[in-house]
Amino acid sequence: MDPEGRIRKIVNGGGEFAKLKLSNIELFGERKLVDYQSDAEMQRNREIEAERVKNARIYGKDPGGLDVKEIEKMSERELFEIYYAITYEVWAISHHGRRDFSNGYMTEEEWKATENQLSELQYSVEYLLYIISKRINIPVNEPEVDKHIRPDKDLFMKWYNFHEKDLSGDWRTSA
Amino acid sequence: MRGILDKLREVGCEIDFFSELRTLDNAGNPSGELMGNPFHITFAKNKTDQYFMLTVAEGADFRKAVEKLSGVVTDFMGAGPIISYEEKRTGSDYA
Repeated sequence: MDPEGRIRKIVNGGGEFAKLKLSNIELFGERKLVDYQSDAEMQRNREIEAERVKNARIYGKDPGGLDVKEIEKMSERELFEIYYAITYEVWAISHHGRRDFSNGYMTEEEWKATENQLSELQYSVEYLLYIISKRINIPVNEPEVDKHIRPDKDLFMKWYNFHEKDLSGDWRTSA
Repeated sequence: MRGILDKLREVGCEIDFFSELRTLDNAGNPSGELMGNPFHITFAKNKTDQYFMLTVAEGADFRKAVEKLSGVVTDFMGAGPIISYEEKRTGSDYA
């Protein structure tokens, strides 16, 4: 974390701050806002953001590592099983990764690779969420840049629990 | 030295259970609620990295909650904030 670089990003709308509308920015101590503000940097950040939106991957539309043709052929039960397996994988990678990184058993590079892997899996998870929601006909938002897929939570969980209760112990541990 | 979770609880924070699992003494992502104001923290406090980012969503007694949480941060990190701002999403991440 580079505090000075982060302040420049916040003040000039760079990186993740391009998606936010910031107000009442206040610097503390000796720092002054005017020392960080740059019209050229703001303009460059706006252009970068416009380009990003144009080329953005879209949750619910981008299948990540999934084979779209295979998914289309799957039964509702098979969709549940692949959803279960992928969300379990996400949990396991995240849980073990955070533990190992925090304890110093994982290098910075390995942690970054793990985060990339999790980001990629998130596309698969949300693609499945969208496909499943459409298949079982429950309300879900349409895929859009920078928006996550959010099906009707109660209806989705009702469907999930219906299938989950039939999982055998063996299947759970082998997922 | 007591961990960040103890310090947050001491000022009345309710901590989300799953975020406790993601929080160790030297790094983590605790989240929860203080006086009806949801908050989220990302921090690291080790040899190579030292930062603390606090986000508070506006609820009842927002200023008071921010004041209390900022006090926890200053106490925990041993230094005050360098920047604060209010944010509103334009192209929201969430539907």
